[in-house]
Amino acid sequence: MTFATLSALAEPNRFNIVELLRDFGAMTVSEIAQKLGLRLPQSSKHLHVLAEAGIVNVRVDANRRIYSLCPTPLIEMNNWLETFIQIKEEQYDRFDELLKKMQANENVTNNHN
Amino acid sequence: MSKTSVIAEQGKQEIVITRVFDAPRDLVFRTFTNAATVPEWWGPRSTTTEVNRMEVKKGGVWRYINRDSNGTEHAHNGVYHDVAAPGRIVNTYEYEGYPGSVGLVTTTFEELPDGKTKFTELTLYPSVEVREGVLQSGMTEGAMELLDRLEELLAKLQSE
Repeated sequence: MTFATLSALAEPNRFNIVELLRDFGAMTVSEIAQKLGLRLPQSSKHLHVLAEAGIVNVRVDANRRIYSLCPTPLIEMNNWLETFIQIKEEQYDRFDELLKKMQANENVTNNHN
Repeated sequence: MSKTSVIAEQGKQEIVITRVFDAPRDLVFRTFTNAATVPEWWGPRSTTTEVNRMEVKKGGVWRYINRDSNGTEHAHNGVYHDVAAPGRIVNTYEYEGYPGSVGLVTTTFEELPDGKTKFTELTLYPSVEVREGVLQSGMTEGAMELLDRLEELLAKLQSE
């Protein structure tokens, strides 16, 4: 999952397509190509890679194919990337709680003296 | 927004972790080096930590055993090279799952105004490859930027 997502996003034009769909919602391939200054065949190919990775959905409307973002793989990837930071954050949150406890104990001791 | 800053610049062998604690430096240093309370904070939350050894002095050995919910043990150890209370500790770090890949950790405690302390933990790994392994994902500065952009993207998606 994650490597496919990363690999799909790791191409600048594909990442721009994802951000474009974020900002503008659903779009056709020609609208995407026009906004990003890309050629149609190139845009189609990138959208195919993104669809394979589950990052975009396509809906057929008459003779138009309309692309939109599917957030699930991105949310999964964000969780994965954050793991290291999360582990450290949690560890130092618990250290912080312990410090507060120590401070409270020291205040009690000082008040008794 | 996380309170812990993690910096791993592309192509370097180090990871720098920074955080400000709302407590005086002396207390932060004492708490950090107190063997009795290490199990209350060290390691991932879903695990338990046992302090096997911890002699906080030059040449002293430290060894923690971390157990996950399956009962699998992960041991970590090192030696203190320098203990300069309340400002600085230098020690080695080895995860026994990858013996021989030893990191050098410099931890500093800096007094800030209003009774606060700036905590900085700099770990230098033997190679860029080992550091990337530690990050599990090759999370370089480029990926950090990617993470920022992703966060913006997700915030937008989730608010819809």
